[in-house]
Amino acid sequence: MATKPISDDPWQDDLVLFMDNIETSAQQPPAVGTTPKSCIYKENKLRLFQYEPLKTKQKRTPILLVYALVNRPYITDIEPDRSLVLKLLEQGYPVYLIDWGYPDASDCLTSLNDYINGYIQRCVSRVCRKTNVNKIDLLGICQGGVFSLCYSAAHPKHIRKLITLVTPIDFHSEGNILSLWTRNIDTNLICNAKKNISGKLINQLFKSIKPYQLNRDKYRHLKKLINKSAQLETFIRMEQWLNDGPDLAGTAALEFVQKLYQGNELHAGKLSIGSHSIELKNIKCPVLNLYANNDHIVPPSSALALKKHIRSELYQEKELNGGHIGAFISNNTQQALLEKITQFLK
Amino acid sequence: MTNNDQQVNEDLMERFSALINSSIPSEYKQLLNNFQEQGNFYTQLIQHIADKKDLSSFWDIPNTMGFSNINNKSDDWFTNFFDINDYSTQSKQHIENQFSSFQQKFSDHSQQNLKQFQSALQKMSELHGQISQRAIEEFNQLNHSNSDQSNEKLCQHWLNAGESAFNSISQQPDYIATQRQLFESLGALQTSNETFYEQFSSLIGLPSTQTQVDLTKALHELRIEFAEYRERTDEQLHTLQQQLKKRS
Repeated sequence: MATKPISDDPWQDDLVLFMDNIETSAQQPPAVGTTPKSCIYKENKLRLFQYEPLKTKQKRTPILLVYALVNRPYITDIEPDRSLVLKLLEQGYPVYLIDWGYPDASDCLTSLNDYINGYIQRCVSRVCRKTNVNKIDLLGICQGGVFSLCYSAAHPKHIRKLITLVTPIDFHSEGNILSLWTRNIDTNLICNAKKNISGKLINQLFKSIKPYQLNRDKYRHLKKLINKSAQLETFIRMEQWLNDGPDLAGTAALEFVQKLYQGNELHAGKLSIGSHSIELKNIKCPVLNLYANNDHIVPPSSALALKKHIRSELYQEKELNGGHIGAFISNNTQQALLEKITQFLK
Repeated sequence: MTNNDQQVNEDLMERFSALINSSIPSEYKQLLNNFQEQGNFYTQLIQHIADKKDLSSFWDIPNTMGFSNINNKSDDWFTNFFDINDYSTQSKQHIENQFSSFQQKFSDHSQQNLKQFQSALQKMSELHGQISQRAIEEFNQLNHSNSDQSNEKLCQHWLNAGESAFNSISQQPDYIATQRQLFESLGALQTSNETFYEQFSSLIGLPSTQTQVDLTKALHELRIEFAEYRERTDEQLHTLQQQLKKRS
C-alpha cells in the first residue's frame, strides 16, 4: 500500500499535538531500569546485579530473577510505577538479577549447558556466598522459567523456593502457534550453531503471531496517549524494550528449538542438558506457577502442564489477568502478582 | 482540497520533516514515523470503506509486517562486497574473472534452491490472499451485525477480522507446510551463499570458516575454563574466610 503524504486525515490534529509534545518535552528518551543496583559478578557478557535494599525490614532469603535470552531483563524494572524489582524491594526481599547481555559472534557456541549448568550455577553460588545462605529463591520468567526449572531439577540443593512466571512447559499444547510453525522444520537448514540468530528476526517472528495488532493497531492506541505524557513515556519505554532484543547464541537457540519446541523433551521427561538428565519430578522445593490467562506466546495450557510433574504438596498455580508481559508489568495485575509471590515466599 | 488545505498540509509536512531531521532522540523519530505511517493507513482504510472500494489490500501480510521496501543497491555493489583488503588493486586478474569460475557451480546449485523458494513464495502469496478474502468476509459480517459505524468501531472490526482470519489460516497444515518450505529454501540459499563465500575467500587469502570456528571454539573453552577456575578459587577463599571467622 503506497504511503501518501500527510493530508487532511482524522489523525492530522493528533499528529500536530504529538509534534507539539515532542518539541516541548522530548529532549531525552525516558530512562529504563533506574532502580539503583550494583554489579557483583561479571563473566563474559553476563552481569549479576544486586539491587540496593530499601530502608525496610530485610528478609533473609535472597531472590534471584532469571529472565529469557530473547529480550532484555530490564522489563522487570521498566519504570518505577511498573517495576517488579522495586515492588519486591519494598517488601524487603534482597533482589538479584541476571543480565545475559548482548551475545556477539564469539558467543555462538554458548550452549544450554553453559547457560544453565554454567552461568546460572555460578550466579547462584555468588548470591549464596554474598548473603551467607545455602539456598536461595528463584524467580524465572518465560524462557528464564524453563532455565530455572532445569536448574532446580539438576541442582535441587541450592533452591529454597521456585517461582515460574509465564513459563512454557508443554510446547505442543493447543494454541501454541510458534510450536506449530517450528515443529517440523529442518532446523539445520535455517539455524546454524556457528552463527547467532538475529534479535530483529526473533522480534519479527513474535510480531507475526498477531500481525495486525502488533504492527498497526498499537499505534492506533498511541493516539489516545498523546494527551497523557506519562502514558506516552511508558509506550516509548516499551517500544525501546521491544526493539532491543539481543541476538541469540546460535548453539543454545538451535538446542532450544530442537529439544523444546520440536522434541517437547522437558514435558516428555527426556531432556538432558550437559551431563544432567532433567526430570522435573526431581524438583524438591515448593513451586509457584504463575500463568497469564491472555498469553499469546505461552498459552495457559502450556504453562499449566507443570502440574503433572511436581509433587502435589509442593505445587501451587495462580492465574494472572493479562498477556505475556502485562501479567507482570501492568498496574492492574502487579498488586495481585505481588500478593501471590509474597504469600508463597513466607 | 482547497488551496488553504493544501497550504496547511505543506506546512505540516515541513514541520514533520524538520522534526525528523532535528536532534530529538531517535526513539521519538521512530515513533513519529510510525505514527504518521499508521495514520495514513487508517485514513485510507476509512476512506476506502466510505467509497465502498475493494479492501483486500488492507490485510496484506507482507505490507503489515513492513516488508514492502526494498533497498536500492549501488551499481558497483558486487565489487564493493568482495573487494576486501584492497584485493582488486593488488590482483593482476579482475575479481569478476576469478569469480566466474565459481559462479557456474554456485548458480546450478542455487537455482534449484531459488526455484523452491519462488514456489513457496508463490504459494504463500496465495495463502495471504486467502487471509485477505476471509478477513473481508468477516469484516462485512461484523459491520452488518453492528449499527455503530464510527471510525473507531470500523478500525476495531478491521483488526478483529484480520486477526481472526490470520489465526484460522495460519494454523492450517497447508500454511504451516508452505511456511516451512519458505524458511528451508531460504536457509538452503544461505548455505549455498556461505559455500560460495568459503570457496571465494580462500582464493583471496581470507581465513576459512573452519579457522574462524576453531578460534571461536578455543575462545569459548578458554572463557569457561577461566570462569570455573575463578569460581573454584572464590569458593575456597570464602570457605577459608568463614573458617577464620569461626576461629576468631
